[in-house]
Amino acid sequence: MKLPLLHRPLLAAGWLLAATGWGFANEPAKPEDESADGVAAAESDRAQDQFSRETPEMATAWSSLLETARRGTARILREGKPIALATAVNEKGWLLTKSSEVHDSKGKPLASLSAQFSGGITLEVKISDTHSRYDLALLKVEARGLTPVEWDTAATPAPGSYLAAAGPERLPVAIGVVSVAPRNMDDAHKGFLGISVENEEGNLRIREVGAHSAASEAGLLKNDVLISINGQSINTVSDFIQKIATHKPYDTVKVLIRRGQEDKELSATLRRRDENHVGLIEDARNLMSGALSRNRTGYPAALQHDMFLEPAECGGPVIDLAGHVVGINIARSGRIESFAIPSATLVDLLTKVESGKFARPELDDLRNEVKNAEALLERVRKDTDRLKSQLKDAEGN
Amino acid sequence: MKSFRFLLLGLGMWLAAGPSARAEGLDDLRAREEKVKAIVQRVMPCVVAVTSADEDKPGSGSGVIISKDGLILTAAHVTQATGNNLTIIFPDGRRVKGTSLGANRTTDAGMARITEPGDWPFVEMGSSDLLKLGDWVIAMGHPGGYSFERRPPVRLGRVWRRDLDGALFTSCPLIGGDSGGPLFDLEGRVIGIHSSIHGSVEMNRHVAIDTLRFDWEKLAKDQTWGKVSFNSSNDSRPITGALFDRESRDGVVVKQVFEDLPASKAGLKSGDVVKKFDGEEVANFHAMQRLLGRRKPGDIVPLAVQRGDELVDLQLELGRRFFPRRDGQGNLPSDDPEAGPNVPFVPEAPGPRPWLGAAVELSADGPRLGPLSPEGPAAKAGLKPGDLLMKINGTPVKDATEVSDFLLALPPEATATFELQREGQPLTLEVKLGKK
Repeated sequence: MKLPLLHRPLLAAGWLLAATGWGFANEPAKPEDESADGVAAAESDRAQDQFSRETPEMATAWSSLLETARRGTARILREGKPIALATAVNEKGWLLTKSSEVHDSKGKPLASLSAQFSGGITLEVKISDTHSRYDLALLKVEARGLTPVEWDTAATPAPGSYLAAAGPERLPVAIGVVSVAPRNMDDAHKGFLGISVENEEGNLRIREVGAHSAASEAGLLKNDVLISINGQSINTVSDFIQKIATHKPYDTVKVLIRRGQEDKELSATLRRRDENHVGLIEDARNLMSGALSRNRTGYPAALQHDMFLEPAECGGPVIDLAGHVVGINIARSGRIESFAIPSATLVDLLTKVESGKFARPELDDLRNEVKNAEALLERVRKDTDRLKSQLKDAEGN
Repeated sequence: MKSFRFLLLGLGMWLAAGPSARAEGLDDLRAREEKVKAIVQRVMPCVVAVTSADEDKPGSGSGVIISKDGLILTAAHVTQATGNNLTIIFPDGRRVKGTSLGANRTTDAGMARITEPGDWPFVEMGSSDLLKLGDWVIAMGHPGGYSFERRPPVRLGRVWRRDLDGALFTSCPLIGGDSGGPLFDLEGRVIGIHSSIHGSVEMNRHVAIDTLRFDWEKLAKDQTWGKVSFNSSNDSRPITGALFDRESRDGVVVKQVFEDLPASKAGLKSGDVVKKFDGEEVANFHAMQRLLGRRKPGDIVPLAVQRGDELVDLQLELGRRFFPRRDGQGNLPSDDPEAGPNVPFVPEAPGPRPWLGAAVELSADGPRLGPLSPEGPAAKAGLKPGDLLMKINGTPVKDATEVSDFLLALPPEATATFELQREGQPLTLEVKLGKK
């Protein structure tokens, strides 16, 4: 049964309000040409192509910058169908790609994968290792003399900077601009103090202190004014959020506050953010904007850009207008957002690539977290023992 | 798949653009990049989130400050009505109190104001009338609502369509929360306000700034009027029966007058320059269209027309659109496929909508379930991420759009039969939809 056309409008258009129940409305008319005014000339579809933000001239201009990167880019095929791009990281046959595109939805590796390079050479692919937090997979092809991409770890393109995604072909896969500077989207691994603050004429006043939070344990109170954390002054709400997020769970930080006329320095041992919240993209407005990557959020470091990518176009290098490789595309996340893992992060993960494994700098972080959590436990145990003995003494008297 | 589309577009481009297309090189891209980066940095502090201060009416849109004393341009559907208490959030997290002013629901232009004293950062307004199709523009806003963790995301695109009602369409992708946010030209001036999205990622609609300006006094005077409509080819909009030069300035040049239509009946001739329309001077085509939009078919409007050295006064009786309606399949009854756009306008019923509580994603095999809302209807019914959807209520569904279309056409809290494949095995489940 073909759905009647009138149902389409429900999905086709929508106001752009966040967090309200009504997302959809009616379709606009087919593009209407202004000159028409009663006499028809529907040229808008053509205008949409003619004034596309990715013109052939732009693509051609980019091609000279992509020459090296495209030689190091392969298209991963499964039964002849492209499912991802991959980026050569050294000349000995190691490639990086987006892990969830080469695994099924239950995490089982897909069979019979091959990598097709520029010029059409196609080689069998083995999955050697995966890294779930970045959704990366390390692939191996039996080949020598691949052209690896040269990571530029210093390049930090500012919002508004042009970017292009390389594929094995001469022309870019997509063109866009940096939307947001790299950030940590992995909430579970950010330190959490457990207060909400509000900016009150330049003072950051604590509005709420979470029960059983690091803040309540440290003795922070509602209406305290936040002055500094570890000696760095805090001026805005986002200052506060960002400073705290640079610390890991179970790190201890010095919090300077003003209570009434008095300044106080308190010591807080951070916790993990409540992990109950699940990142959901239920918004069908994202869905009507093309396919999205299955795994598309939560990366510990990711640069947001506005390229129109297909999920199968992730895994390849991202180049700036200086010709530097600034990262690889990791997700098509929504109508307005695609993400790339920055080069500096990738380099840290690739220090022992020839062993066929990702380096795991985050394991050290986790070990540290465990150590700090244990130290905290030890302190609490000692406190408990002391309190118990005080109680016992008191009862004895 | 995308590359393929790209190639197709490329071909279209060469055919359509002809000799006027100038080859664009890396230097052009670099020059544009420098401009965009500088503008983004400069205007960022003025791009605010406009949120309801009333906890019973949650909602978050965007806005842009255009005066030192805190006047904000936004969308009518963000402020909803005049006099609502608002919380305005700056990109750095600072929150101030505000109130909504006027709103034109028809164009979706709205105004608000910061009610606390202060010297606020602001941007200038440009002119949308002087924009050309193909001009590059920058979109910013607070998609998904305000977030501490990122600055307003930057999107770069081009204007590719302008409607008679003053709407601009660009390839700057927008999403929920962007509403009311600013569209900037490459001088960093506001030339549009984000309004709605219409299908593909290139279909993003913005209120043209000159359309908003046309209503300035009413908006600033707290008036709310008009009715919500996404349909720009409005049947009740009158016609003149002439073609005009959209590039002309200080008047509007008539390019062509069609027989038996109002303009020819009124004695308008090609080559005439319309100086005054309905008693007001018209600077350009778009200004005239705004005046025309105030009238209805059958109205008689005076024109002052420059013909050679002569100034001629004419009386134009406005006509009615005569486009045939499309049938249920979207086809025009006429054999001329370009006989004009006119999709029937079906008002949307307000109120709750059916809710599945699951993301539906495209896969090579068809629509597949993505993440489920933990306590949502889909999860309760036993649906699982990765399930491949085959049929709903016996109707085959072949992509995510069809699934959404189908579900949204059902009443809230209806029960639907889902035929699935899970790990290759067929499975049928009854899902009681929720409402949102």
